[in-house]
Amino acid sequence: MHSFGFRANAVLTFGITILALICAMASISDNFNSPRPSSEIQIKYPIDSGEIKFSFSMQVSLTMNITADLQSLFTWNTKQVFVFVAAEYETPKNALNQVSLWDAIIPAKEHAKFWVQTANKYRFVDQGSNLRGKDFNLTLHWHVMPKTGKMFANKLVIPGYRLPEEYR
Amino acid sequence: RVETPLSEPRYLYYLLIFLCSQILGQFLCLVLQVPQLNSTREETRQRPFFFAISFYLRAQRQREKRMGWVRKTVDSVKSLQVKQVLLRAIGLAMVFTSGLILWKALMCMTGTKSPVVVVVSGSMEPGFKRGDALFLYKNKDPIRAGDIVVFNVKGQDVPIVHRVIEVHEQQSNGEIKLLTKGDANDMDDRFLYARGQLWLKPQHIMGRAVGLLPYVGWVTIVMTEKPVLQYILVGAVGLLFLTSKD
Repeated sequence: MHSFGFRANAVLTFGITILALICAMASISDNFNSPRPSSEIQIKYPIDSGEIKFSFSMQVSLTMNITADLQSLFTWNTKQVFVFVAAEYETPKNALNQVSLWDAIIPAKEHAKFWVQTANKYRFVDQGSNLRGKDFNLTLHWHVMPKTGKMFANKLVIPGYRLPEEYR
Repeated sequence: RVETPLSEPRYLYYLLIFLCSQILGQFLCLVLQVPQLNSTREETRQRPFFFAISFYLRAQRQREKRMGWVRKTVDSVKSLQVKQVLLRAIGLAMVFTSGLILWKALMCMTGTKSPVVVVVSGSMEPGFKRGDALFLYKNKDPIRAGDIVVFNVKGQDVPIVHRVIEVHEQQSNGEIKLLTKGDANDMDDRFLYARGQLWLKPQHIMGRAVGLLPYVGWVTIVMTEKPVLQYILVGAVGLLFLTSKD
């Protein structure tokens, strides 16, 4: 009853149970945080400075001005927030298309309020059909990745963008 | 290959069998523990009455008593050993079966064949580090961009945990095509898919990652990469089982 083996077993079991309990409590504490993020995305539609370009493979490159304030998403249990911007549009063949254009990792609360001007990181190209004159929505998605426990994800839909009819 | 839904009656039968085995195990333990009461009553009956009648009688009686006592203790030790080993074996079997029930129940609740996976590569850093355990969940909700999914490439048995960056859903039949990419990778996952495969389909997805527990997966990684440790662990558990007093 008092051998080393029993004591080690008891200590380990108790330790692991308490650790699991603490992780669960940390995750539950995230539910008390009510985030209120905000964001604005502007796409530069130039007249002739060629910032929206269609290359020969019907690929779109555009420049975005992204402003966002995601500070309210961070809790003490947050490891990082993964934020990405996706374009959502409809084609005759596909009811829904979502293409990720840009993403970033926000490691801490101080970096969560940002303004970034960037070209799209990933190719904006549709399978087959062309994107001329296409209406699309830009969605800012955020994915809160905790140190332990449940992950939260949500998005903000900003509608009303349109690709030009002709390419330069 | 079509995945069978996990709400089949087959899983309820497993649950029923396991519950019956638990009840049977408890019953057997009770039955095995009862005879000990009989042996103690016998011992008390053999308490000696006459000490000082005659030296011969006393010696004879003492000899008989000693032999009887030796035989009795040998018998009780032998019977005790069998009973104890049986009890402990049944106890162990009950622990195993209840662990199995828990795992099957978890599989049914989360809708996936493996409710917990361990991250082995660093392609999702710094969000998921090597050695983190992920909890998966799968339901009928369609997979959308941004979901972190776990999938198996045909021919490989190590599942991959990456994020969906492109979704195309067809108008006509609702068929969905997915493209994934690891957060820390520069390229998307097309080079990981099977030859000629450009897109992932929802049936390749084992589940969506919904929760995270850091560092606990290291046990699995170390045991998979050095199989020697598996044998050492099993041997240690077996030794503990045989030598423990209760």
